[in-house]
Amino acid sequence: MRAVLRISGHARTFFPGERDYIEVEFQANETLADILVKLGVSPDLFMFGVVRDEKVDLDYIPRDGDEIALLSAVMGG
Amino acid sequence: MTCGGYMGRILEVDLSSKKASASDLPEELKEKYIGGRGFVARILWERTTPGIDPLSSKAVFVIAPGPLSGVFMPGSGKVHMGAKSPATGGYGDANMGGHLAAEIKYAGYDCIIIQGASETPVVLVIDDDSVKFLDASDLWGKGAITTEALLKERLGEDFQIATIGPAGENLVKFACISHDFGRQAGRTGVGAVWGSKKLKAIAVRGTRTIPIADPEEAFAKGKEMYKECFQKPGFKTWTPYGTAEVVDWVNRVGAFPTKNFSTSYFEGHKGINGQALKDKIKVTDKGCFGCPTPCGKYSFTKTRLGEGHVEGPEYETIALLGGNVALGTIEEVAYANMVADELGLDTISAGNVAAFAIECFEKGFIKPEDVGGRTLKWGDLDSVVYLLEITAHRKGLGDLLACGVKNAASVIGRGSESFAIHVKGLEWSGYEARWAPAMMISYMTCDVGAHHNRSWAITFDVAKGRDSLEGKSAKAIELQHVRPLFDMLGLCRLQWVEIGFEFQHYADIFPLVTGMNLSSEDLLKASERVWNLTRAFSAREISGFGRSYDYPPKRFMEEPIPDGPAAGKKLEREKIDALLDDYYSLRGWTRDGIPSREKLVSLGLEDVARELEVRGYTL
Repeated sequence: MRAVLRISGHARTFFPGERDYIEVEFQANETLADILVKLGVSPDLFMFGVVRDEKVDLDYIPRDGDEIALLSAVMGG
Repeated sequence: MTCGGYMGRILEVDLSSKKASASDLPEELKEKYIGGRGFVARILWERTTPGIDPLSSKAVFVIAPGPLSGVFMPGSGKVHMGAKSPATGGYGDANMGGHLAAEIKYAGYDCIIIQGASETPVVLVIDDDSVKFLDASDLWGKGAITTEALLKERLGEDFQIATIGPAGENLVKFACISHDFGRQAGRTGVGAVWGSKKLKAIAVRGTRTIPIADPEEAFAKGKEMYKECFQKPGFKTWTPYGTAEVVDWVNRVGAFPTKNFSTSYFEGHKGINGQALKDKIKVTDKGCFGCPTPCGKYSFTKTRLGEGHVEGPEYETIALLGGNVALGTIEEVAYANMVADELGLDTISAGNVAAFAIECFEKGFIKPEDVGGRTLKWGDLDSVVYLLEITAHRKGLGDLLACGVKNAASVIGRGSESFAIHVKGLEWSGYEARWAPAMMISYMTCDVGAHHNRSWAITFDVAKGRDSLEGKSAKAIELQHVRPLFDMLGLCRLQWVEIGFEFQHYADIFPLVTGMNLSSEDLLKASERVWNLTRAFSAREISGFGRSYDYPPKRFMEEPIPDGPAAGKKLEREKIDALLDDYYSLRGWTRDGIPSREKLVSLGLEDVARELEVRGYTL
């Protein structure tokens, strides 16, 4: 199965090649956190994902064809 | 292109003589210091009599929007304020959103300099070119929010108003300035400076237009920026919760201030997180001037102590008046927020002070007879509200607490200094950093004291390894130039930090608005200039200033975090010194943390180097 991860702003620097669009392959029952770990990226960098305008936790199990935006915790006021 | 973004005038106000005059904005000030925080820093350096009491009538107070404040673009609603800090004795500033920044520009000013002190309470009313001083005797003693509402009734809804509450009047060293019914210039005790001048409020109304160098292109760029904001995934998912969204994450990574920073994980976090705020108390979103992603949450709270409306609580208030005093419900945190706002207290410092007092009580350093026979307890709204009230009014023990945790600990003694959580005398904001070296060095070297907004680097720690020191000081320096640049431009940085907005947008729109041909590198150089200047200001004002002023509290160096995701972690003194050595070296400062002559000269600050040398520093 395949999904697309979208990353914006300086959260891109956490990913290989600093890309804002990464296509990933994954197995059934793998979570969003599992996918990030396989990419060598700590899930702790992200607060949550967004799929079809809805928040999802990092234990979300993606569906084939999902496009998942990742929201990094870059707060601080 | 013509010149734009600036109104070209400075308003100087003398509260002693009740006189005001306008002067031209010096070109050099624009070119070297840009605006906002840059103007505040330079004017304070030039106008502050070295060694002056921050609360004396001769102390200077500066208010400055930036060249992009009030312009059509996301987040253009920030105004900066500064003075020699009553909390630290060094450089002090704070900024706030709302609608004041734009209104000051509309009235025709890039900067307001306030000197002197009124003998009786006064409201400064700026109405375009008219400047009046209204008697405020009947407002003295009233809450900050109440005062704003009363002045709106008296002067008109179209005035933008900033006020202080009883804490500012009573010279509490962490009193804030309030505006827009819940926006605060919170830190470093700026509200106490107004109190010392008997300045209860400022009201501003203006009708001018901000000149724009290239109106068509600037408008197109602004429109493009708004459009991009609306398309970001965070727009729909982050905005409904605002900064409270981060509570769960900060707990997950073991960085949430809990029980006076004794630990970094709060079991009750789900009761005070963004979801709780949205589900239980939020009435509506509330944004500042030009904001497409309002972080403000206007709420209604009801507790057994009372009920009412409040803007918030935002993350910092949830951390310090929530987890740090162990309040477990969002209603209670919002109520404490409402009380602090009306009293005119900075919720970050107030939460630290309340937590410090509760821990002192637990350890027997504060007795029941010191607090009216009460038992101060964690998770107890009565205790928290009581401490806020006695502090703002300086009643009993509150007179000591009003001086902040550093001063309170120096009087209480018995080792309480180790859990007085501050740097330079400014209480620590909402991120526990014993397992986050980049965040730790950010707090330690922040120019105003332990504040997060100059450099927020926990994600860098997570990305690069939380036990590693490598590259951490360099990252803090990078962020200490980028983030304060927003304060110089008069902008909110939340679109950039929260929803992944590209930094280049800001560099692109700056020349279109101002007509000034400055690249992003030029702007960052100006920010570095200001950083060195504020450091030099503190060195000039504080005898013996240097490395010893950059250390965190002993708790963070000697006590391992007892539980949660960061259990067992601390940053020992040797690691703290290694971070500082790296930081000073990269900055081109001396081993004691003073900007070197070479560095100052390279930034066009030779006059600053000369003055530090006159005062005995070897640069």
